[in-house]
Amino acid sequence: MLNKLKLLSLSSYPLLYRFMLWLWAGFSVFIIIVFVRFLSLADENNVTSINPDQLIQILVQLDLIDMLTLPDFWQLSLSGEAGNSAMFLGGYSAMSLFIFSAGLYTYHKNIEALHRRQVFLLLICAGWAHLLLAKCILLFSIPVKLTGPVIAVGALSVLYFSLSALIFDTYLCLRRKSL
Amino acid sequence: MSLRVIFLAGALMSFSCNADSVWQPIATHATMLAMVLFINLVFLGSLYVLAITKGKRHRALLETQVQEAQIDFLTQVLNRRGFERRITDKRHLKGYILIVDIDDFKRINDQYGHHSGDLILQDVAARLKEALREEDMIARFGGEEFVIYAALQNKQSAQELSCRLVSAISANKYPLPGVDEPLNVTISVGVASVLDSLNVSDVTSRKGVLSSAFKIADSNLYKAKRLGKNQSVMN
Repeated sequence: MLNKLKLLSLSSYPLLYRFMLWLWAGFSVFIIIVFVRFLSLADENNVTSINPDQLIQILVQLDLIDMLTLPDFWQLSLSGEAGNSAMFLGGYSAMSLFIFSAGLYTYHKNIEALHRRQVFLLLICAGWAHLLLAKCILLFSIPVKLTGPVIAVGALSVLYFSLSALIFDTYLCLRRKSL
Repeated sequence: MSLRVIFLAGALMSFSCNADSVWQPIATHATMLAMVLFINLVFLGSLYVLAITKGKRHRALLETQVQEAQIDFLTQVLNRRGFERRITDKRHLKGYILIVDIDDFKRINDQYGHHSGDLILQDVAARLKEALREEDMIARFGGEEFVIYAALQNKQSAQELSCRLVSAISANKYPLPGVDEPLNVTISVGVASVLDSLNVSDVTSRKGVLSSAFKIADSNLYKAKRLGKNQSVMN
């Protein structure tokens, strides 16, 4: 028999709301993959649509808007050839995800039952909060050599948290159907 | 330029494993750790603070509901549940139980309607409350029956109190809407003492003591009714 908590976690939520969350998570995953591939492209000096100094400026300031307007950002990164899988590994982002998940689980079990959509939303928001924090840190003139790790934690956290949200929701969706 | 970009990309891969000075790896790891902890602290902290606030609000609501569940809606005095709860919480039980019954209440209901009956009940409850002390307890046990617990020291005080209640109710007439002449309402009171000499510490003994006091008060009430109403009886 299911108890109240489990029922709450299994219960569905409005389709439109779910669609929006999935769209947001999917977009997050996509944009970060594209971004990391774009970085590897820059690493190989293959960016041609912008001069190198401007590229550095955009990357160091994490100017996402300017980055999105670059033709190279889309054209090359979607090819699937560029990119290094090692660049998608981030120990600190994984650690953050672990701490966050443990905290949420403890909260769910001991304090208040969380709904599926709340967990989904919290995961996505927490992921993007990492990138927002990275952007805030970069606003202060930190040493250039620190910019890479800061961006790495920000970007990979968005990827990990969004992926986790998608996996979590899919799992609950499948489990509910199989009941 | 390419060196800086390489570093940027390299950092994504290896989190600055290519550090070329002593402070750099420490600063790098410290920054990343601080970021991770900060985000988690903010999110989980807000979640827990929110839960505490919600819990407090919920508790306050629950407390209000518990209070409301012990109050009689019509007369705004305690109901039976509230009375029993409060009296079992009392440390010392020594005092007197008074059972008050409105005389001929059925006739009032039949003659003037239930709405008038309700108004009479409210008025009687208000007058009884006025005649009692702050520390005395009054409850509506159902229908036209009220129960009072007064922590009085002797029989004389209990008799005085019961007489005061009887005269407080019959002193003034009760005006009713749509009725030309105000009504005369009287009560009968049965009194019994609650003995504390048994040192009633456990709940079962307390209930036994109260139950026997109730029985005596009830039989005194019927004596008062038989003797012509509008009076109190105490053995």
